[in-house]
Amino acid sequence: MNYENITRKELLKKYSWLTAQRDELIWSEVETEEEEFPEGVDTITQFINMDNESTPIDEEIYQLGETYRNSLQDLAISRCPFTGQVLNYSIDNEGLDGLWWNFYDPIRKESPNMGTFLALTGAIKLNQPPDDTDFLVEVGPEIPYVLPELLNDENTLAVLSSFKIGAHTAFVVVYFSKNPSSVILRPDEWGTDRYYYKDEIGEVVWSQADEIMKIKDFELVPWIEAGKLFWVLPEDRALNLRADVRQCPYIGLIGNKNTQIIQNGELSELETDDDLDSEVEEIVSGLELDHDADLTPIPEELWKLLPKEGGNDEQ
Amino acid sequence: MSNNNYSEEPEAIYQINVSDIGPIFLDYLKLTPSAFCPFEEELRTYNKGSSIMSDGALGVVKDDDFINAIKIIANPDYRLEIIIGGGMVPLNGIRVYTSKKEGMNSVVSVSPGFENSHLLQFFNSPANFARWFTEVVAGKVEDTVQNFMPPPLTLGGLLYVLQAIDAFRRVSYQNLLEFKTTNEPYILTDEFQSSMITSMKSLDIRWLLPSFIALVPGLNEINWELKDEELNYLGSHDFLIPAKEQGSGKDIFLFGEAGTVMGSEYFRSWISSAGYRITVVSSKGEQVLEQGYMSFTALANHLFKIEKGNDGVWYLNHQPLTTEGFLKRFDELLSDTLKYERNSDGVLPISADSEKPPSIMTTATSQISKFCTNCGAKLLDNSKFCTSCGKQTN
Repeated sequence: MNYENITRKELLKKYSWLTAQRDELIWSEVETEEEEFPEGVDTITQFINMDNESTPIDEEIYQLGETYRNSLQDLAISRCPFTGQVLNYSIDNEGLDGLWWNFYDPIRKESPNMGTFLALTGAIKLNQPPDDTDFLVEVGPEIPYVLPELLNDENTLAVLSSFKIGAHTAFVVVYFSKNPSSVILRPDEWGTDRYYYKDEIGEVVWSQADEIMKIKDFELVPWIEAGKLFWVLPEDRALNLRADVRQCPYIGLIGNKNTQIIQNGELSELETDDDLDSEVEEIVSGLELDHDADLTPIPEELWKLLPKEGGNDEQ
Repeated sequence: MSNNNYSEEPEAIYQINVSDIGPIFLDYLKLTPSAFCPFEEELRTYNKGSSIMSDGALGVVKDDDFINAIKIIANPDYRLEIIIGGGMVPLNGIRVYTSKKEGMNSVVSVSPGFENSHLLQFFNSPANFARWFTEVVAGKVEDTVQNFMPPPLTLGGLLYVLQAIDAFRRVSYQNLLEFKTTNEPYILTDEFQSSMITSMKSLDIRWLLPSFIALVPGLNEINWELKDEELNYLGSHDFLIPAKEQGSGKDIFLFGEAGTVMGSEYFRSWISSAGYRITVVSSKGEQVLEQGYMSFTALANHLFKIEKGNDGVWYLNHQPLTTEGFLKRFDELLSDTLKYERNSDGVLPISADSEKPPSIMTTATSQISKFCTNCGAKLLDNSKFCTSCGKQTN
């Protein structure tokens, strides 16, 4: 099997067809086996055992998957605010129909080998009808956000940038830490249900995000003003980090804050838990980012002594 | 003196008169100092046995900490130079030494003392020195601020940023003098450029730009040149906004958000700045490990690390830090650089002059004031108590 000259479209089509064939085969075998086994035998166990046997279809799927993985480009998407190093991240930016976006079974390269890289999360503004995939794609909300629990760490800074994925606009927030190994709770990798990290002996293991890592804050201004969130202008190839609020194009964006889900070309959403909003407020207020009260130099009672707006009409 | 394991105070403080250096190092302790010793010049020109120690020196010369401190600075293999000035403080300097050969983890700082003397401070560890330095010099800051100078920032880019901050201060002072209030201060483009050259040449540390040039040790040894395109950093990071003056139509720069916020920070609360350089001695000789600049305000402790990029360009890594963050970074800076291979044998010993018969005590030596036997501070003539520690004098 040689897929050297296969196009992306052909590869994805063949992969989809082969996985459907395999699933059909497996299920037909399960049904056959079920008839042979007396009642009470765990059919799930049989399924797993059968799945472990490598078949020619499995081998072809694997080869196609590797071809896809190797075709993924490293994109310069962010810059570490501690070291200034550019972050190259392997991502399928040609469309959401790529296997990179398969929520339960993504095909990706390893996380970037950068000492300060901690995590990447994202949001997508869909600019055309959703891509047609037979797997589940979870792209996040429509507008950018930060994770207070992660950014609250004194060693962590984040950078917001944007780029195109097919016709859609992606907003990614990359979290950098001076000491990533000290961060215990992490978010799931963007568009998947898990995250990978290195354990004490340096082996890559995976885990799933705690609920607190799903709390999002869409109010970016306090984070920028607190020096915790930087941003990069869209299309800025030099990836200049910016800290000013006035010119930040990501502030005030209007869009769906719920997680968007795509499957079989249909868009749906996961509703945000109302309780989470109050938790966001709690975490953000805990950071003491809102200094409005402290910045008011005139006590409330003195305001009453000031002349009313419009001055003295009698003159 | 104190014996705390992790203290903001030095373990011991000594004031050493210049005329006591030779007698202590060469006659009494019989050391062979290296050319890396801070008193290299005094020791090179001293004739062994040509002078005697003052009473003050005799009072401390048997103190264990004092002997350790002298041994460290006689043969150091690590030096941190810090030149402080600008903002609200006059020009000052401190050099910090350690010595692997002399064992221990101790650190000795040397700074100018009263009249013709040096102040030696003995710290049990680099961490204790970092804590003391942070306590004495850094601003008391609890919250982080925006980093308007994120990487990548070239050396030239930084000079333009410092000039923009100075320009805001200059305009603010002018408006203040003219009782003028404005929401949109600005500077003429030509004036911005011409005052930058004047400022750099002035080395006037009351301004931020010349303070950077004057305070960073060895900056003149770095091969770099200011490029016009580095001015772009000011526009792309919202320090300055090009505009036209109303009426005259002259080219002007308005101050953007970054220029206004940082300009205000330095106009209102610049405490001081400091340049630093870390040099170690190894088998290869002297080697500069780190150079940088620190600038302290009431809002942030700005740490700038000078680094050469793979592209051969000099960059500044800037981080605004809280007091705690600054302490942590400064501590890391010391501990990281102390890990380098060090060997005080990498520099030659000071060439000893031939021994000459002791000369008659000079007038200067005979007039040396007494020192407190408790804290080592110089005593005022006929004083009954030490003005430094309060101990009654003999």
